Amino acid sequence: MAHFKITGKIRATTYNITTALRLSIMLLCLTVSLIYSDAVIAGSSQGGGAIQFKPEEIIKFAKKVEKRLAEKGAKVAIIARVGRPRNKLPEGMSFTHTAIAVYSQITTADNRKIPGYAIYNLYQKDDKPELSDLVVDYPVDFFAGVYLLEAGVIIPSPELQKRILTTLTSGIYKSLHNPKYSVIANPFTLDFQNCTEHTLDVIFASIYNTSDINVIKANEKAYFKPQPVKINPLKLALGSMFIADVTTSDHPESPVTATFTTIGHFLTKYDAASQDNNHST
Amino acid sequence: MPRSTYLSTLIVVFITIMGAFLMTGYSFAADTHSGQALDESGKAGSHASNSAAHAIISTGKVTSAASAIPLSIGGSVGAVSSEIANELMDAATAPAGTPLEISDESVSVGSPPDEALKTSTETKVDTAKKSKSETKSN
Repeated sequence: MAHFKITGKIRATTYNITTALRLSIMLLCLTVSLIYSDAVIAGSSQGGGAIQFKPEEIIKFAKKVEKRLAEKGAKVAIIARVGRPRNKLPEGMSFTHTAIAVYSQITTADNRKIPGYAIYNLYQKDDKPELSDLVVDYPVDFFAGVYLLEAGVIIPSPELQKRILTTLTSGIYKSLHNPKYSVIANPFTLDFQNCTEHTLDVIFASIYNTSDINVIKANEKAYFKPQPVKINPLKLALGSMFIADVTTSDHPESPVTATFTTIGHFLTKYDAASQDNNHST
Repeated sequence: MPRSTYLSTLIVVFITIMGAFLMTGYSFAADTHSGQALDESGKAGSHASNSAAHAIISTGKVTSAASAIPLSIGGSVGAVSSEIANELMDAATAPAGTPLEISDESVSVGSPPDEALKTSTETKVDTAKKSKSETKSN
């Protein structure tokens, strides 16, 4: 029988039931962890921070999306991107970031004025991922690090576009921002917010012509159907413990969150003129 | 069970869980400024941002944008008409749904601050050289 006493050196080689139990626990932990790691190791190695496409491809794709929006006459659109391999995303989630594209007069650094789309984003801070900022950028920036050259696009009805513009150009857009970030923020609570929840809040503020967050949340709860977060509870618990921008503290029940797709379902149901298209190369 | 063995087991179990968990990278979809979901940590996301944005800017095929204002007027919506260039006024007043003009130029917010800091000295030198040559030619 072999007995392992792990204190830096193997001191004996006897084996007993206690050791077997300990080894079993370790193997179980390893197995559980590896089960969940399996799908993601490939993603980390392939997309670990490097640009996924040639810059020219990204520039071309971003312009294609812009032109498509312009052809449709969209002054405001809800837009989404895919920042991870699809098969690495939790079930029911197809996009990793949602924002609002606005047809704009862009003043270039050399003071020329050109028409294009500016994108209103809520982004995590690079150095503090549990916090976020509101950032305006442009399609090329938006798609710079995507994993797939694919965009989710929803064009609201003209009336809703007009109302969203009013919200964006008033102080309401900024007042709806909660800098405390959770990647799986509960859209029905005020504790944390992610990009999609902020977009949802802007949409509801625009629909109800209000800046009152309690009115917004009450109506979201009544009419918006969120996406259940289908992640193994053990992994979620570990994520909540060890990852700054993941928390389950705002989820009294099974976690749910807002996604581009669920916003699409909501607008399809309540804003009949909305168009929901995916654009890819 | 000896106390030291018990502690050792706990440590190994903890290291096993943490190690495997870290190996998984970041399994949740996140949205960083990079346009790249975080793969390992906030720092990794930051790196992605810099490399992706820098790679695009370095092509010289995008123009830096200084600002943007919504191109729609009507009531209190959008920019004040005096801020809109005459040639864009048609687009500004077009009803939603009408095909809109779009520039063939691609614009960007520009390099991340850390990248810009790396190149600022070179820019100053270039500008100084240019001024000198312009002065000479004049």
